[in-house]
Amino acid sequence: MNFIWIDWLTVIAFLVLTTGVALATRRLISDYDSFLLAGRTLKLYLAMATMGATELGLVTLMYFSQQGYSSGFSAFSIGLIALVGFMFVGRTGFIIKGLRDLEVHTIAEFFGLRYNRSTQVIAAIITFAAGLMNMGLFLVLGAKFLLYMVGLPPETLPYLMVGLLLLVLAYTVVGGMVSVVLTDYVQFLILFSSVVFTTYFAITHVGYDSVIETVQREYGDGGFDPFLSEDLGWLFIIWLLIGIPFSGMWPPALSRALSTVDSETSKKLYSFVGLSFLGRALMPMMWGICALTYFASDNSVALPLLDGVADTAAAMPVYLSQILPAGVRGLMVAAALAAMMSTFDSYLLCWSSILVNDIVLPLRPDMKDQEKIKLTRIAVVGCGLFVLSWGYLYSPPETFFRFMAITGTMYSASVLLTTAAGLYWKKANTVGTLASLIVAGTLPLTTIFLGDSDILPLEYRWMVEDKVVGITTFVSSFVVMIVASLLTQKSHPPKAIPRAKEAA
Amino acid sequence: MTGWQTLWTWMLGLSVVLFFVVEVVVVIGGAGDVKSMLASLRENAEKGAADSD
Repeated sequence: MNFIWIDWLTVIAFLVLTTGVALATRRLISDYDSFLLAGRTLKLYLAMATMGATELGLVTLMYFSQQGYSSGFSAFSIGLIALVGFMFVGRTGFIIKGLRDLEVHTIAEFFGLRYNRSTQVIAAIITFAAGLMNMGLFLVLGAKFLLYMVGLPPETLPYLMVGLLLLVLAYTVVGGMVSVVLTDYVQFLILFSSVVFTTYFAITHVGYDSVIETVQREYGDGGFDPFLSEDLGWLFIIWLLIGIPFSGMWPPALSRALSTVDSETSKKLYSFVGLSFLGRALMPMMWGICALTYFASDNSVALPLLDGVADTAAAMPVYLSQILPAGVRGLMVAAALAAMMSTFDSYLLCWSSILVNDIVLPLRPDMKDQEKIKLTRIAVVGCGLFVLSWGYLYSPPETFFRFMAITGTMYSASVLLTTAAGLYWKKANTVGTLASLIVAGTLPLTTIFLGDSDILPLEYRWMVEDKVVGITTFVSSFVVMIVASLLTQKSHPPKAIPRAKEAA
Repeated sequence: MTGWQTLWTWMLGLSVVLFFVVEVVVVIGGAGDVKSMLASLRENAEKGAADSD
């Protein structure tokens, strides 16, 4: 066990504080808008706190550190591209401004306004499926972090997963978005401070020069040049560059933009919070690179094994558990819990709201607010149970970040690309949108389910590599959208976008 | 140091500075926003309770 009393005290104090906030906000929930979007009362700084905390999850720390361990400094290109993406969305208001002006609750609702209910339901199903799979690894990665940081035996992993799930479910079901936003504010403070502190300890323990030497020795020039990297390479960079216009539009982040007081606040939110997205990627990646240096030079602590090979995802938490001083270790675990809870609760609430708003509600439009809240709460629990099982049963073929990227593409190339077409291209119609949604919603499944299987002969495996499938998905979705829309203009004339009041 | 090494070193430094600036601004500005959000939600909840009576 790595923890001493001061570490436990820090963690317990944090848990009491956040649970208390969640319980105290319950009486403020008066209708569905206040449950789901905090009554659309989020001003700029609070929206930034909640978006920053939501998008910096424990899973983020884990997959970025694993990517840093596997690719060295080349992984930093991912953070740089994210920064450029956020700046682009913040400056132009691409997609977010249009959706906020229409006052929709979720992105799929836009499909109901611009096309028809069937398109809304299909867009929602794709978003829901991609989102749930993406979230499927949250619990297992979060539990792994705690396991190695605290120093618990590996057989306690399933119990930790269940414990974490119960903790998050408790206050998401009780308080909805209001408790999520308030706890996010507290968690933002703890989380951002701990990330900076930990980066300092991680680098100073091994020394920056030693880090550079180790990466050069282990990965050669590819450890610094992303185009030469064996793990990344130019195809991977092209794939990420294509996704730039859709940066930060994963539904939980987008729900923050839709919760702001107006569309100008949404734009400012992306511009400003985007600045922290460079650090959100680079600092945990640096922990992973420092862990690589540590394990390459010190053989006294072994890297845990998974199915007989080194578990690269465990490198960062094992490293931090060895080097962080007592007290700081407890603060880091409290921050990690903050990171996990702030991300997990928002994601649970988001996917459940999509299920209720865009799949159930079009079929039962007369539902009352209290019924919707009740159904959303049931859906939160259902999603949580799915995540528990998926995380336990599924192992991604590449690094965890790569899995997140391909599930992200499943959503971006289908739902976001067709949303952009619906907002900015008058000729976009139902047929083109449906065709594009189906193509882009299914192609990434080849990587997810065939990427690590023996079904395909070895010489064809490259076809289901994530970067190849990622690029193909974007290109084919775009082409199908244009061609199918143009070919069916007469049989399916495009519908104009209603104004906000008409939409309401 | 090669060009890439220098670039990533500067980027890491920049990321820490930006991260810290965002944190300070958000924590200070967010306190006021929390107050106003709670006031607005409380008002809505009271209005909702009065309407149902």
